[in-house]
Amino acid sequence: MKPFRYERAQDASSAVALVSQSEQAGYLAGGTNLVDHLKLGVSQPDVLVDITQLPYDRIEALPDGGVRIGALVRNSDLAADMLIREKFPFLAQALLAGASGQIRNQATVGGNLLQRTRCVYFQDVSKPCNKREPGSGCPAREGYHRSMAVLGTSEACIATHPSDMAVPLVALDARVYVLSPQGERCVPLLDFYRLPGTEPQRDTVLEHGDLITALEVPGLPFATHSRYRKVRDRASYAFTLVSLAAAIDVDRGVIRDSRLAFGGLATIPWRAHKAEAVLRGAPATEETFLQAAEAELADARPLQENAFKVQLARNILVRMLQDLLEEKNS
Amino acid sequence: MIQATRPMIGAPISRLDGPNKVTGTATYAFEYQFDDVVYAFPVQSTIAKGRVVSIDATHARTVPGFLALITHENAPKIAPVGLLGPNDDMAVLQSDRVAYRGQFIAVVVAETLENARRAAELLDIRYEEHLHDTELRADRNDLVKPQALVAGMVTDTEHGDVETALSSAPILLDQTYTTPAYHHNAMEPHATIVIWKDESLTLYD
Amino acid sequence: MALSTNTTHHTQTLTVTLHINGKDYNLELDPRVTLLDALREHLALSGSKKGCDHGQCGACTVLLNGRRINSCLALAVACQGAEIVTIEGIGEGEKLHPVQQAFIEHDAFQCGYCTPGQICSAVGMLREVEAGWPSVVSADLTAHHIDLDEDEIRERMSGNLCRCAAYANIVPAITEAAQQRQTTDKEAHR
Repeated sequence: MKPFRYERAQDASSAVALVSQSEQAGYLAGGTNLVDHLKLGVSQPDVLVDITQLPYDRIEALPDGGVRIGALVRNSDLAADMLIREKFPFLAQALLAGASGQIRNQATVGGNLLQRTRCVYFQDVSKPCNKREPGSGCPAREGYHRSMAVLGTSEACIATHPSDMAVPLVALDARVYVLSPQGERCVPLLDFYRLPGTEPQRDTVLEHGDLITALEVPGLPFATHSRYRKVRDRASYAFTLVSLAAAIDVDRGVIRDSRLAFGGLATIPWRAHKAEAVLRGAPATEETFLQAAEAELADARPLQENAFKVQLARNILVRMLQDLLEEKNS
Repeated sequence: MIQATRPMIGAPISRLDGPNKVTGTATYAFEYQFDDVVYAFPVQSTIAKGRVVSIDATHARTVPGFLALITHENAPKIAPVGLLGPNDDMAVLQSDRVAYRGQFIAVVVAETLENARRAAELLDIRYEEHLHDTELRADRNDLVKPQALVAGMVTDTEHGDVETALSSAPILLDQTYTTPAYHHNAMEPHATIVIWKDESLTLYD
Repeated sequence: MALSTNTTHHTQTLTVTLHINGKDYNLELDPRVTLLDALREHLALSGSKKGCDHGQCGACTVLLNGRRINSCLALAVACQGAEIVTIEGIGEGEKLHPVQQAFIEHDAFQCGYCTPGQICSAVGMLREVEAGWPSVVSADLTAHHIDLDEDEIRERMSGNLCRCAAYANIVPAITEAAQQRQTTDKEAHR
């Protein structure tokens, strides 16, 4: 681990100024991804600015029925919040499905959004990796890629985005509030993540020094009827193979609206726009659900060891929508 | 020596080391406390097969508290080790040969753990990498039957008459199940604390 | 390989006060020192164990401001001002904490290396249950009361590995400790 200088930020603007002025500076919040990367040599800052004392740890109800979440709210606090559990159950479930109890207590909302892929080559500095070292190559395609992406990939990179929390958040059209030396701005979460394309090293649209201060989730009445399902190799404490966040609004056998997003399937938390379009106004039947899955997965580019994810995603989508429908009708 | 004050066999006895283990006072190998300890950080091969061509410590030596770099070039020679005769794969720092990924190829010693780790990171290591072959499959034409296994076990055994049983069974289930390799991997790391006193060395386990 | 060779190796050390098991300790620390290494290497508090050093095994679990965390992923310098409780601070002197006592009675360990982490994690977990935190296996996400059955315990303790596979005894040990707490709470409220 390279030596670094540690500073504890007393206020946001000096933290932002300090980090923005040096390419080798970074923020420290919960540290559950960063400290791991420091030990692995994946991340090598000269300066770490500890932002945990900044006042971004509140969860507040919004007038539209939504919620504003401070970037420093711990994952476990967000999952335990009754407002979230009642209004956005799939968000609570996604948080609870992630990591371990210890990690959830330390990890922050901002850090969860920004966590990096767990691709074995990204995390191993003795291996080439276009995301970690642009231009060095991608060994995953010919090597180990079982947990890598089938959607949103490029020649340069197939790394999956590992977050569970971000999946229902993209389904909910969440907004990210960002502070920079130029002031505060709002970035829709759907625009926040970047496909790898030819620049896989840039996971998000953030510029160096940008600080996430809060997340807002707009109100969505039918989100009370939602679910997150995470399929993985172990019953707990394992990364996603394929997951789905789903909420549906059904009236007399017709789907009025839905929100669907996949995890573990793509290089970014994947909002299933095509599937939603198929569902909108259609009868709530297995046939419709299958069509929706086909539409979303049509562009999947599976490789030898991760091809199973396509069928798995299809099965999860159909099954979950059926379950949600049954729940609604009971 | 434990003196029995009552019959032990068949009695429901809690582990005698229980109180120590649940209070964190049981001492494991590298937890014995000594003054002025230094830290040895292992350097592991990043190739699976080949040779270490060179290890350059120019940058590593500039780390504060750097004390030593031990490689096959300056490590003492040790007697051959192995369960069934000398096995080069088990020899540590005895030659430039790399037999598996993760093999210890050097050790850096420094005054703090963080600086030992940092110095190890800063070594410039050159390898001659050979093609490795790690896939055991039944259809290979170069399989070798070992002369002997551990504890005198034989490589191939036969029981009964499988073909007859299969052909006359009322129900036949013919499936191949594969499981990944499993390894012992105790929670406690392989580590020790080693104390020099005059010419003698004490290792704690 | 692009590890940078910044050779201006001045190592910053910071004076830090860590509040551990009710006592203050003043240390001069390299910012890279994790809370786990501060405990083990700088304070001779070797009860917290290093298993994987990457937040995957839970052997390093301690309580920070009452909550269980992996001390191998926390930088010691970032813990200034926090209340830290380690296995050495669980229980009161000769008197074992109910979780410790239950682990002995149910033989919830063999080699014992994961045990301090299991115990600190269980203590933290039981507080989370008391606070009404659901888990991913909870049948009713909005229930205020958690029914701590075997599935719940296994899920909530999944961040603590045991290679001796003492899980079969760890679960009953925690079940008993949880029931004892309930009995104590009920008596306290009479």
